[in-house]
Amino acid sequence: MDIKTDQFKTLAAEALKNKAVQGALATACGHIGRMRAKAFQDWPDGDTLRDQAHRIKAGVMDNLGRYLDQLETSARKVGIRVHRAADAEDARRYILELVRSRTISLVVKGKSMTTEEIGLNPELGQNNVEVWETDLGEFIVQLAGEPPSHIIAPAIHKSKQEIAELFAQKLGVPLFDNAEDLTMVARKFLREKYFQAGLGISGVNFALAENGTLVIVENEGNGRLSTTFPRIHVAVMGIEKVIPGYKELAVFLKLLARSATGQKLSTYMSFLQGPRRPEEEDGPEELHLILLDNGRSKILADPELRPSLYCLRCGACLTSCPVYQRIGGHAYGWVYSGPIGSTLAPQYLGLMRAKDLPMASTLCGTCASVCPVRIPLPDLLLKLRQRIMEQGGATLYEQTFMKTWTLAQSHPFWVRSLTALARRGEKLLPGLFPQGVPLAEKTFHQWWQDENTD
Amino acid sequence: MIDLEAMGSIRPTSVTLFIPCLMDMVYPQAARDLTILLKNLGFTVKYPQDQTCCGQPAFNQGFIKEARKLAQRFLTIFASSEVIVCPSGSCTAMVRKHYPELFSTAPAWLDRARDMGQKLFELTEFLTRFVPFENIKASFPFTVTYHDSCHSNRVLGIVKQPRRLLAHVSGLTLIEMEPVQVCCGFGGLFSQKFPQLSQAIGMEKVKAIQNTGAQWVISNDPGCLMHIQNRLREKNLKIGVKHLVEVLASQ
Amino acid sequence: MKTPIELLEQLESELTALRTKVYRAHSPEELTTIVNSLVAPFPAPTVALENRSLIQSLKIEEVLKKENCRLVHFPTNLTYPPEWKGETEGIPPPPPPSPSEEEGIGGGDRKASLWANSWEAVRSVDIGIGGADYALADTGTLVLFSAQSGGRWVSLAPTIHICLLPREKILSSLDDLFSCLADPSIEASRGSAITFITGPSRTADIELTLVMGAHGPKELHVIILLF
Repeated sequence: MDIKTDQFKTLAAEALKNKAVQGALATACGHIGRMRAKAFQDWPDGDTLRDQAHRIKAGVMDNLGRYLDQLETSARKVGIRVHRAADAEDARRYILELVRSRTISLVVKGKSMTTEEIGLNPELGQNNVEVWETDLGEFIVQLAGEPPSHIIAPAIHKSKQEIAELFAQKLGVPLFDNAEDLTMVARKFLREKYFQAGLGISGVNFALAENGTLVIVENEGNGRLSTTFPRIHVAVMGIEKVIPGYKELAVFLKLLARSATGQKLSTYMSFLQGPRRPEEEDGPEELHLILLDNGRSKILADPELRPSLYCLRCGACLTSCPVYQRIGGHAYGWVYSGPIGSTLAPQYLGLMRAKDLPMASTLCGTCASVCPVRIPLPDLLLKLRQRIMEQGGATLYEQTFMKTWTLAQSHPFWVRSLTALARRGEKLLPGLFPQGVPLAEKTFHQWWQDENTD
Repeated sequence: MIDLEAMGSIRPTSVTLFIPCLMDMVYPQAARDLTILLKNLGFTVKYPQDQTCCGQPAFNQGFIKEARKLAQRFLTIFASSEVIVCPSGSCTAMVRKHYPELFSTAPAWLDRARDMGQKLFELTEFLTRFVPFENIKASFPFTVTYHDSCHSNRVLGIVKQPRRLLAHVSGLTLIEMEPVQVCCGFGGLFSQKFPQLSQAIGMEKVKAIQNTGAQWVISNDPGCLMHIQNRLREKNLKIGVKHLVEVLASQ
Repeated sequence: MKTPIELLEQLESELTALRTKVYRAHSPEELTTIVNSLVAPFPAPTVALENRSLIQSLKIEEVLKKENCRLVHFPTNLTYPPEWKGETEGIPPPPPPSPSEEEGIGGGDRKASLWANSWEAVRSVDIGIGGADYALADTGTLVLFSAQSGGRWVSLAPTIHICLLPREKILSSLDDLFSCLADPSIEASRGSAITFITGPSRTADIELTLVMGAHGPKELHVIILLF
């Protein structure tokens, strides 16, 4: 996708004017938020598990190299082919080489933010490979030619009407008016693709270092279908997704679905340990695991910002963020949006390229209060703001204002004088301050002085 | 979060005021009410007149040097105060949470910052800790909804305290917003940098306030109050806005 | 610690909340009745069976033969479908369609011999019947080992999935299952995939309206075997 993180202000303004998007976001975020809240309300273990999850992730990040080595060894032992991809291009090249050498012209994809991150689909398209997203929400945005707007509900910004028109136009089906029929259209269309495709691509939610198990979690079944019938399965995984073993996995699985949608567990979880066995009728003949770095080890090397890597991609921070709720995912201009997106974009894409994102937050802390792994998102955003300022990210006006303001605040005389001046100014020019700071006639300070000098 | 219980419950006799700049300039009547309330409760009230800003706006924008400068100034001015009361959750949070971060590599300042965090109380923390409720004789016969400022709620853990105080105000009916504890959209300089976003979030807050049917909206943070007041005015709504301390001082 | 009957009831309650139909079979005869009742609404259903020892020992195939069912097997003579978009070197080309087969394709009368063994049948099979290796009571989850099922497709491709669950396989939670997996002999028996099924396939991607059967089975029926 085109990266537009430097256009945040424009994109956000457009989103705010779009009544349809506003309505869809309000309904969706409200509903998903309520489901999540209910799941945690009725569940006393939640808080303890979140603390545990945080500790596990911290421990993994402290030893990531070792766990990745262990994962690679275990995975190879069960017949998984492992490739370490330094960056997006490396990962794309590996997949393209696979596609060429196996003469594959049709690919089906389960939901994977990582594959969006590396820009896989456009490159495959340029190489005459037909790619189909199979998650319903991703399928919809693919047909519409748009990027997804939410981690777990990619088409949250589209109305039923819009989807019906899209399907009618692109798939040549009648104009349906209900979600059930529209879903069946997608089901029927994609059914053929699963069975025809030479390659299925998925993401990975967790990978267990102790035995090479890849865990994929979903609700629709498209992930299972994409990774069962095609002859080759390629799983693309950010290196931060490795965890030690089953004991740790239990903690995360209990938290993930509840945080994302309020379900106890997602409908389907696949624990994959290699390609098909001789006694099995189906399953891929080859299973490839791509361990993607693409900037993650840089974040890992930064102890202050390292918790950014704990993310489970549950989407809870997006759904609960008052800023995201107003503008949706597209305004952030990249694959990852909301509070976690504002934290990751500057680190992956460059501070200056995404400098508005960490600023576009009230630091209300709702994100941190719902994060299953307790990523201290407001603190990370503050750190990023500091880095941005240190590297000259503030405009001359902002710098001058802040320096002058600090100087004034260091000398009470100036504060009192300037306040008096501002009050006079506001009287002469109403609206002097864009956000209406209604200054009182007499400050408290003046009142105190009057009261106490008799 | 500070363990206030572990700090002991020796009742102070004098109290020093830390009045947020926004309250000083925009809601001075609330600060006056606070002074009078504390005096009526038997405290000697002090107010270091040199005080200005705690540095939060600079800190939140990433200007660490400037924030540190103002923090040092603050720590110096309030160094000899025994107990400090602040009628703002966000300012209290700045001192308690972020001052130690500002001085993480300067041990002497770090100690002073930590001490300050221990003796600085947000208003409702102070009242619920040190003042028996029957001493606060307030009357405010109206329907009221309460807006939790995000820093009070999520950084300082203040949720029950304002409600317990409001429950003791004679004639007052509290109606909670649904959803509760949602940001108003002020965010300090966020409101200047992203005014449309700030206003849009504020409008959602106004909707929630309207839906309660309450006559007044109360909060403990002057920034939130100002922002909500502006949004209410834009929608021509006749819902009143007051700081919690004004309600507690109402007769 | 829950008693076996409490676990059973908890599982049933969770499954029901997940829009899964639950039944208890106290005898092979009762099982037959339940299976027949599920198959009966279809005039001539295509059915797939897991290669599971449980399915074989319960003689499900014989039960179905009486109900005008057409059994679908995973294609073995055609390694990959004719329209396959992948490497074709080394794979035997599909046999040319015979005239009688051509008639049957695409609707109209299904010829049993044709549909029993083709890709079209696999991706449009009506009912899949299999078992489960474990069930988790606290979340209403079925746990299937691919080596025991003989594959993954029977609980995945059909429109309706019927799962036969011996009651002694009911565990309390995921933690219990992971304890079982710590046993090397159990871990060795799982195959290339452990699949966890918690209700029928579902999506809410269109305006948050819940729709069942997005890609996986639309209906899930669990028959708990108490004999």
